[in-house]
Amino acid sequence: MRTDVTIEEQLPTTDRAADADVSVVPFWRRVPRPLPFSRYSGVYGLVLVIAYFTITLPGVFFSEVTLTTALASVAITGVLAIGVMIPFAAGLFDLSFASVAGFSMVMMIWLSVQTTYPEVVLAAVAIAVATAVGAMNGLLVAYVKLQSFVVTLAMSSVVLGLAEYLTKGAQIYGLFTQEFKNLGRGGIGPVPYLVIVLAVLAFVAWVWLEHTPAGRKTLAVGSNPVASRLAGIHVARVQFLALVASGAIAGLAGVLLASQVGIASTVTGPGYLFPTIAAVFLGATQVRGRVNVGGTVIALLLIGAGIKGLQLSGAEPWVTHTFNGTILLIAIAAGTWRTRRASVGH
Amino acid sequence: MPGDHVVSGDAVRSTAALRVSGVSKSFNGTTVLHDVDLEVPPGTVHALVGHNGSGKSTLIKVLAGYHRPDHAVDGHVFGEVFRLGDHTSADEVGLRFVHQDLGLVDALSAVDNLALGAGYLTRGRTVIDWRRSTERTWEVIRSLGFDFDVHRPVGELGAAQRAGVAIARALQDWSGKRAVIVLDEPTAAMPSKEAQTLFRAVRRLREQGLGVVYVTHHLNEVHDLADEVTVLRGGRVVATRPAAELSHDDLVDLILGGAASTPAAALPSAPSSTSPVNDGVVLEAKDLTTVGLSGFNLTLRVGEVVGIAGVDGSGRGSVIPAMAGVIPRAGSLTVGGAEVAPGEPRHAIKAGLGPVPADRLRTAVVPDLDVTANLSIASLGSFRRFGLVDAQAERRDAVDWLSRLTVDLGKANDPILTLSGGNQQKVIVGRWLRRQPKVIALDEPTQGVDVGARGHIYALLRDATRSGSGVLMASTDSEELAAECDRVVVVAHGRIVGELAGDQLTVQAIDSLALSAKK
Repeated sequence: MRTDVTIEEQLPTTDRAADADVSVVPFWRRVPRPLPFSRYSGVYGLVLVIAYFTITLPGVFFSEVTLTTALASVAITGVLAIGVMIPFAAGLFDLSFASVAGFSMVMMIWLSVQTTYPEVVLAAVAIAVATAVGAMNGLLVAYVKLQSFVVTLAMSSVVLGLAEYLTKGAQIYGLFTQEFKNLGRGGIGPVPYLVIVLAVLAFVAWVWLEHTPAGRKTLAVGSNPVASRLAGIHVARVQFLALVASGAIAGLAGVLLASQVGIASTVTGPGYLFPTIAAVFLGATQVRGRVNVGGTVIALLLIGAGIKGLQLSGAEPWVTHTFNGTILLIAIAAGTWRTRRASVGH
Repeated sequence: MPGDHVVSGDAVRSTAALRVSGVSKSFNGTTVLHDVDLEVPPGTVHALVGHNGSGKSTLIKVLAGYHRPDHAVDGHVFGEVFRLGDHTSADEVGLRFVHQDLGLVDALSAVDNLALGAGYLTRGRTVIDWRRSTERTWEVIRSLGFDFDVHRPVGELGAAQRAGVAIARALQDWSGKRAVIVLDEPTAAMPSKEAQTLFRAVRRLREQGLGVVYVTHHLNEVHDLADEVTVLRGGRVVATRPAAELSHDDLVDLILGGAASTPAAALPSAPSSTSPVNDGVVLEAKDLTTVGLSGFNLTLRVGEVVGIAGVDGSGRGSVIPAMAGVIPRAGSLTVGGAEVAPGEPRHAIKAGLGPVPADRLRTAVVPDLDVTANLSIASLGSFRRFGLVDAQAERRDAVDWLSRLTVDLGKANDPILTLSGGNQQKVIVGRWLRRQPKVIALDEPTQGVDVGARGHIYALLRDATRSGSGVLMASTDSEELAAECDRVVVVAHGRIVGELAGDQLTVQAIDSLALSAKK
């Protein structure tokens, strides 16, 4: 290398590289091929599920009402899934989100009974408290360096207790305006407001995760925290903010729950734990082979359509849980199989 | 079991603890061991020394049964025959090994670690007899001259104590004296105080009549510890002599092949005036002190490529991690004139350092991101537009850089792990070059990198020095340092022992300094 051959002499120049610009294709022009099954099995599954129930339940399943209620039923799961996706992307667990959402809901309803402030204020308080819980998680995980699995599991119990303290074990009926109740139950034409909220949130999350420096850094930290640190990323801050965001979005989900259900009960929130995690895990096997918004939405639609179809077919309530669990098992088995094949070479 | 067990009382006394002869081994037609003989009398410590590539580690692996020798050869341990290349056979006659990484489970205690090898002592058939298991462990540990709590997780023990546990595990079921233990660079990552503790244990083994084969890079240990020494060079035994007969310089000559005649003292530190550089200092380390390294001073100027040489355990491997902020450090470090706070790599990076770590897979690549994102991860700010990453600009830049790095443009959106090791390393180097760093600091820059990519990485680095960077590279590959650097700082026993530049900068001179420096 002491010879004086420069890079310029050996290699294509920058100008030549500019010629290769043909490979720079904007993302909106890169889709048209048929979706590969390995990465879009959920889409094919969804088509199959819809086709099956459309045939077995003629005129019932494939109707505006059914599709609308099916969507609405997964909207809050969806909001929670978008929220919890963020710490998952950063390589962290958040098992507290369902309890936090429940706490936020209970607080919203409790405040509506105890105070006379407008609902906007109550919602702000509920979301702020949920965000603070997320910050506490973040502090303990990112800066005190405790394991996220244990921290958030413990926090979920702490928060569940606080919710029970507010309800005193009873059910509280919220005193809300009709406008607020409409948020959870009404919609624009056939489209429920909750679905609109979810769509907006999913879009924002997608832009954030895939197209902002912060989202990219979050994915990097989740993939290899040691290498991320050595690339100059403030790993602790990324982890902290991921858990804060998850807390805030869980708080928002709680407000939506308060609007939809209207009755404060401590069992409501925790019931969302499993379906949400199932959606995120299932989503991570779709589209990209890691946590991503598109995959999560596909997973939600699949779960929503499947459960709605089963319910309309007259299946008993327990089937929902079994369905969720089975779907998740199939998803992770397929995902693992795919990774194993990919690591052999593709 | 192969062979006969011919053991008579006389034979034990007169025969060697370990005897192998005529061991040859080749890989793909390249012979790495030529007809090697090794004989270790009972109750002696036999040092085995040689430079990288001398065949030392291959010999150990043949003894341990990882590799089969080219021709079937029998070895003898206290007169008992074993077949070389057969792990079980070697183990059964009492040839035992403690490898460099020790192979301990850090979370478990010494009692547990010993039981992992030999099984727990039980009451009845199922219940662990903790009292007896503990006693057994304690006895072995004490017989080696150690005194520590055998119930503590071994991860909390000192380096010498951990080595002691590994030795105890290797020898626990060998109650008699007729065993041979091979210690493979046990002090490579050990502070000298700890090493003294370990030496005491090794001497105990010798007193008990065992044969000890002691592999080391540190020549002073040969004199401290060994009765005899065998020097390997180019896969051949070039000398087997009593250790006392060989001076430090004799050993260095034997290891390097006689050509290295200049002892350390005669090598003046080359002043940087001989280097073709500007005055612009881009990095200055003053009194840098960290794990296994103390009082490290270095000044790097724009346009310079400076190497850091040293054997494993010399402190060489700590220099760049300390500068990058991966490991704690004391002392001052300035990059581009700005003082760098220790503790987090981002401080050094912000000041203009580009660290390329040695362990590429674990500490450099981000496997879930594609090649483009791996390239841009340290400079996302430069693609920011309206708060977003401008995907078009990022791709254009990636195409530009991938062609400069000669990485297939078609791979731009593939997972980084689908690239070859050499191309991955080029991407990691490119990650920093595209930031135009003041200093690019590489640890083992071409480990696991093919020859073609190597040449290319060197050219890229040289090119970076022309556009305002300084390059620092720590490496165990002396040829690489001699060929690519303007000057080389040699580290041994945690300190700088010399600096080489100009005509004095040769492979031999680097190795000679790295090996001969005394404590």
